[in-house]
Amino acid sequence: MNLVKNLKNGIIKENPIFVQLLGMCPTLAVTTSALNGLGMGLATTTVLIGSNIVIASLRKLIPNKIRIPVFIVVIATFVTLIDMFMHAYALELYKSLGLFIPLIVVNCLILGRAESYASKNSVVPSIFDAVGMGIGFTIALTVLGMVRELLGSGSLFGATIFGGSFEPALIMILPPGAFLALGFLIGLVNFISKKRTA
Amino acid sequence: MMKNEIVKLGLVLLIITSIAGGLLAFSNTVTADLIVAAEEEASSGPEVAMAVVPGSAKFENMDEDAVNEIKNNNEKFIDAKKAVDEEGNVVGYGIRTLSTVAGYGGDIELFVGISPEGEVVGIKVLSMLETPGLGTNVQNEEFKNQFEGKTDDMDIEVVKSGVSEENQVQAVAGATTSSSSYTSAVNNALDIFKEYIK
Repeated sequence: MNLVKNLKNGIIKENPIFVQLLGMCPTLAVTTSALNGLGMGLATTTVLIGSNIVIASLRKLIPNKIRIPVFIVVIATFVTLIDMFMHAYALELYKSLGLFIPLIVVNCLILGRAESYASKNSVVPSIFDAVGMGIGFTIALTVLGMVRELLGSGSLFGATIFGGSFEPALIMILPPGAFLALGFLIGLVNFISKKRTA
Repeated sequence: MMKNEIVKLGLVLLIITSIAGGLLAFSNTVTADLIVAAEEEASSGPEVAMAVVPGSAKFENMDEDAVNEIKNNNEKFIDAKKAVDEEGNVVGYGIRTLSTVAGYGGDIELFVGISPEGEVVGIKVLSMLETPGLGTNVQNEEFKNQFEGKTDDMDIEVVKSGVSEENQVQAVAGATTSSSSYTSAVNNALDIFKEYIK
């Protein structure tokens, strides 16, 4: 029962993007299209699951004083693995995410979960925590990417939605569009959650 | 006492980083060849050949000395390939080059297909860092098709509107810099063809 709560916690109640506002750099930078958002979300989720498993299982062996360097080494290892395998098997996506794959290392969502959850809990709940947070992150990035792609290029996942008469709002796929879309989405999420609790 | 602790912490870190290093070295040996193959396929595979030189089936390597000679004399040049059809007849040439005039995000890398007579038959963008939705529009058919039929005795010129001469192309609206950069790469390819291959 608690495990399900872990899942829901990451997706809804403590959604890393809409509620905790963690990991803003990739969120704002790569969500120019729905596919980029989805790819970044899944890559981050994979790293998060891997690092949560390793850190939760080593938590009693890691001396408290050097826990942060150890966490970073574990996270960086997983990121480098993802980087290599994406380069080998998903070149197209690898090229469009570019610099932001190595930057997953410094995504505070991952270090945050290592420090506040995995280092204090056993392996299984940590996996559920990682999956929940990962799904929450992926959904947020994908939705943000969908909104920006739809308004900024008139397409969704690369398929044209609006015909030729639609003039795309270029600003939506430029950096200001990221802030605008994110602001409105957070507003919407807050509006809905307030209504539900009221 | 203090010294002992430092040694112990150092050892723990050493063990963890060694394991991480070993793991990464192993996955590097697994993926290194795959990455080279994937890059090669994406930049010079049969799909690129078919897009760049219509009627061809794949690229074949040219004489290495000839390619090296061009490389020594033209610093923007990257590679040249023969495009052959299924029977192995040469139906054109592909010249891979950077632009000689920088765009907004540095040089644009193109594969330019040229017929044996010296006519542009197809172009593919391999990499660019232009503004999404603005400069990246040079990839669109509308702009690209203007180059088809241009020959190696022309110096292609970009005009903002009103194409009047045979050697002119119309710039993408709002993206003159990107259009000029793209065109400079095509010109470079034509020059290389005229001087070294024809």
